[in-house]
Amino acid sequence: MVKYVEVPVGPQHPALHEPIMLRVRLDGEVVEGVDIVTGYNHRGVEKLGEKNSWVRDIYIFSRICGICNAVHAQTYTQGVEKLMGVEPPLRAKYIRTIVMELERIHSHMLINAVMAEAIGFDTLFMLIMRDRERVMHLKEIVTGQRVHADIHMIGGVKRDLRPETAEKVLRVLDYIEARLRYYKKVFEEDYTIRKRLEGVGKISKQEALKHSLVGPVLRASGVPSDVRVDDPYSAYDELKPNIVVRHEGDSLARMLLRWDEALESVRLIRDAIKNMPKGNPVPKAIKRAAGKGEVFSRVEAPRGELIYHIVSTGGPKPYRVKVRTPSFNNIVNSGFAYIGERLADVPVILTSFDPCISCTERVLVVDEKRGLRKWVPFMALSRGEIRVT
Amino acid sequence: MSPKLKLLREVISNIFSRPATIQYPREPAAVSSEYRGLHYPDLNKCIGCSLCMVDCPANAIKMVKLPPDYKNPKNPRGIYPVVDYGKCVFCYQCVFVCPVKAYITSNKFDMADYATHNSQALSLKTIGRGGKE
Amino acid sequence: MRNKLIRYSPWLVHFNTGACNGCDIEVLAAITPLFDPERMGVKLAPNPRHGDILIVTGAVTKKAGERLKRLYDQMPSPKAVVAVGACAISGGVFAGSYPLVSGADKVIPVDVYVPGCPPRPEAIIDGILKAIKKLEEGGGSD
Repeated sequence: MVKYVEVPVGPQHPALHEPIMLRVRLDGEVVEGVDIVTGYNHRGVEKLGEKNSWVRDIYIFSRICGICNAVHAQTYTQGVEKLMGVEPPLRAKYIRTIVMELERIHSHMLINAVMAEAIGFDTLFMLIMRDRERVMHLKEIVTGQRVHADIHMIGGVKRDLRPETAEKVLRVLDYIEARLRYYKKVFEEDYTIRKRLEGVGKISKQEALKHSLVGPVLRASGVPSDVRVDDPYSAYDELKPNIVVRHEGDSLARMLLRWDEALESVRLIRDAIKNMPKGNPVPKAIKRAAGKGEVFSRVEAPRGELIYHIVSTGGPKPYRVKVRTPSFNNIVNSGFAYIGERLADVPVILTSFDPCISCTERVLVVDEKRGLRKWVPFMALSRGEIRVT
Repeated sequence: MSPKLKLLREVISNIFSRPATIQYPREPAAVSSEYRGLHYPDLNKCIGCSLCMVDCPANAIKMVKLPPDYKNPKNPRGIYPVVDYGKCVFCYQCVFVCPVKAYITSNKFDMADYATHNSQALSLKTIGRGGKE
Repeated sequence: MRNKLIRYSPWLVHFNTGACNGCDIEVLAAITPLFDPERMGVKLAPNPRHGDILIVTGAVTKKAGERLKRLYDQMPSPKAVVAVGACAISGGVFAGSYPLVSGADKVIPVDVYVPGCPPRPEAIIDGILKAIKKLEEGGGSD
């Protein structure tokens, strides 16, 4: 007598084009348990960081994740700046903020589009992706690349924001804001979307805190936690972002919260351009050696709290850089949210966590050595005792 | 407004709107001049300091000897960088760090080909142009 | 004969072998309305067994490398492989790291290289068109 039916979802994922595998155990159509298998994307970034110089590491760490690259660069750079005792000019901080907020808008639009695709609403996917191209264009004119900003440099930024570019950004933002409001309305009112998302993958406030979830997932369960407000970095202490909180805790709340955050980002970019101080944000000389010490640096990425722990023993290279990405918490610890749901809802719940597998993977060093066929008891995984599958 | 009327308005506005698609191979792509595309060192300006090689995160830059019939008094070591576009990540750290601004940048992006290329041929073409592009 | 059959609509198989998502979102962007390769009959295949062109993104990790080889073997010939981005071509910034094979062409034969980190969607379409050309001329790998 077979008790469960086991269905593997992935590693070529149904919704996101990223390699993660969910082993779903089913009783009938109801999910009894989920094992999360990762490791397809492990690239040994932390080891590479130890081998390369401070400056090269900016580019290596920003390539941990393509979607939130400027945020990775920001966390690393602000940590290194603290170690070296360099203070970037205020204008550079504003430019970094603008780039990071543009990134947040396009990341939130992307995951909402992917969600539309996951629930079978392909028209909406295409529409959101069409408007997202406008944001990508803004990123291109501000930083020089559609995806990898590569604008951070120790002690400033690599290129200045020209006034005509700033004007263009403001002009396009008007269009984007109107579209964001429209899509938010679609997600609020559309019958199909509500039917697929409302009440699915519900996480209560206590559960979210117990499993140390971060970012929009945590805020959608009613916990106001945002590093931009709690521990302001860059220009956020002057721009004063508002925390968006929702209390429903289901998939729909997580998606709607992302639209609200994108609208808040639009406001932040407008304010940043309006209040931008004058000066030269490009550093004349790059500092290439740091003294002894260690630094703990954190930033609010589009997916939640991103933490870097940088240790230096002096010299041209870091001794150790430890990275903890938001997706690691949100994906590996979220196994409990699938229990009791239907199989068809599994991709929807996974998408609502905004999985960023390339972020997650880098952490699982042990995993490669032990071999991945190891079976982890589900309860242990959901209690967070075993962090590696 | 009733939902049906709203729908009708959407339909009509979409019938008369221009298609969003860029007919790329037939039309030129909308690339801004800011785009970080193909770049190569200008041999008239390069002083062979190797800073770009040191800072390249992808190890895409190799220092190579200048051709024997070309002498540049500003370049005493007689070496110049060659960028391997197969490895290059177009972060423009080399452009940023160059003390003499020797890199010629462009927004050329269509580099897809049946083999990978490097910047050697492009750099050698700059000889004798006296720093003009 | 067989070239006539596949001439008009080659389907894509997209495989992420450990990319940073940058190339993936650009491949995703390349199939959306602004660039729309369905003009050329190009669309994403639901299954590797339906595909004609394999798009490889990402620095090939050892774990994903095995699966890349298996995926490639499952595709019917003639087929072409497009390596998108510096990572898929040579490993990019990750070249030489311990879990990597560094480069898709060490695992499977690659026909078209698209440099960039990540390349623009237009450059990816350019690469796909070059792969189609190679398939039509009877090239590509069997």
